[in-house]
Amino acid sequence: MLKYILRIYKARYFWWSLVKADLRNKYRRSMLGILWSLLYPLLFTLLLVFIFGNIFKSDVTYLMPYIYSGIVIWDAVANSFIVGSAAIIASEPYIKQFAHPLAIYSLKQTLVIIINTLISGIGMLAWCVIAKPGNITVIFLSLPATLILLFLLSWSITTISAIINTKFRDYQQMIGLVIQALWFLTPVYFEKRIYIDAKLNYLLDYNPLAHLLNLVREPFLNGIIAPFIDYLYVIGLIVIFGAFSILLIYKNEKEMIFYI
Amino acid sequence: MNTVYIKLRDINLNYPSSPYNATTIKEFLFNIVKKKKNKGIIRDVHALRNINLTINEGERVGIIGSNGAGKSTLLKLIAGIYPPVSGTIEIKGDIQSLFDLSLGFDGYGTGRENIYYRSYLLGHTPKTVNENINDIIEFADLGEFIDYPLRTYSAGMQMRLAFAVSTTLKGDILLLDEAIGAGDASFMVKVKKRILEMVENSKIMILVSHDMNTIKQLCSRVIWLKNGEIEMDGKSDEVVNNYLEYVYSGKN
Repeated sequence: MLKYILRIYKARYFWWSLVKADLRNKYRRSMLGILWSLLYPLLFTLLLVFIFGNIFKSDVTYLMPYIYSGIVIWDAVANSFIVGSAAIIASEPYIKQFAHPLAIYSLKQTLVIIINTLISGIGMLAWCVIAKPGNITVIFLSLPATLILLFLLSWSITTISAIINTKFRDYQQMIGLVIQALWFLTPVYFEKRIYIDAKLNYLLDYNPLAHLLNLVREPFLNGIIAPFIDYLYVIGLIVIFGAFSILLIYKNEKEMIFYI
Repeated sequence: MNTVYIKLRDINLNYPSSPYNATTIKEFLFNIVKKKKNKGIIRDVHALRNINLTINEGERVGIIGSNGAGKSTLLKLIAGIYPPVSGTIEIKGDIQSLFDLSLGFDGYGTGRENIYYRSYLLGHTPKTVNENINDIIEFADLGEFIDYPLRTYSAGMQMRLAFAVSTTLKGDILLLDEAIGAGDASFMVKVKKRILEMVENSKIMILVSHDMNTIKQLCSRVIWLKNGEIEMDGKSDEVVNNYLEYVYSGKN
């Protein structure tokens, strides 16, 4: 496996230029360009805050960063599954010409997702500087670990999705539905108290994605590092998905070319 | 000792049929309703059969054969793109392949930017690209267009840029698949010279082509593939002549 990672490292200029090309082409000919990665979640948050704030009579100053962080993290996870599914299929011309390790194509998709997440995250930082400057230290302390964990989780998901979807094209549709179902079971936009009031505490306790959200929300909203249990769940998820992705690569990489 | 070589032993390669025989739910239900069996089952295509081949350092090998004989398949097997179903491959040396000249080009980027994109695809680092960039720009001879988006280029201009970048390939083992395409006459003279230089600098060169003149000019050894098997393997003149005889007699 070390040899495989080395081959990925050797190809770094290649996949990094694919990442840059992707980001460039996403906002080609749009005036605001990559600013949309920041603007869209921001405006969407304002919309949701307005609606939910009225329906649930929530505290708007708490709801805004709560929903914003939910959007940013959920998008990263959902896109890893859904957009990640196309990672190998979209790279067909390269795969048919060069024997690069397949994981570089899922890596490229993950990096595009992470970079968009970072740009969206600027909105969170800005809010924090304005509203809760006291939390800045804790945020910067926790950020590197959170980003690394998010990166590893995303890469294992994009790898799994890309390999399965290349062989079974129904995967992308099915996973879209699964993600939508998961959304209801995760406190992405709905506050935790809603789940607690509905006696659905177990969703908060046993859903690893709920723990992932805490890794971001605790530092930003409450100025503390998330409790160890949150890290444990996320690391556990990464270990499971990571192991599965390695297994899939090991068993399927050589034949992938016949299914593209 | 860093000798470069390629050794293929008892290689068999199949194009599996399973990706094509997979039924959709619609077909599955349709078959039940119409009480029809899966018609026209596609079988595995046995593309390469019992290939035994050794190519040593210093050899310039041409691969010829009719369409569908397995020439490109063999080349891609050596490049590590297709996996064999049985047999062993032993390769020592860095492989550089030239299968599609404009792969890696981004239409919206400028000529200059695309030199970098394609170079990274070919395994260059920013350092090595910068060493060659002026040479490439001069070779492509596009004037001010080098800083215009690739989309504004004519097909010929894109071809010139593609060639200019591709001929900076340096590798121990050079794999060429009919990459020597068409361009305007004066440019082709430059290109031929460049390609000869590339070939000179490689330790092993394998060329797949239908152009017998180029094959005879560049290769000392020729392999004739027929239906996935090696029909003949020897001196270029001999093999090419035998092949041409076979082709023309077949037409009578």
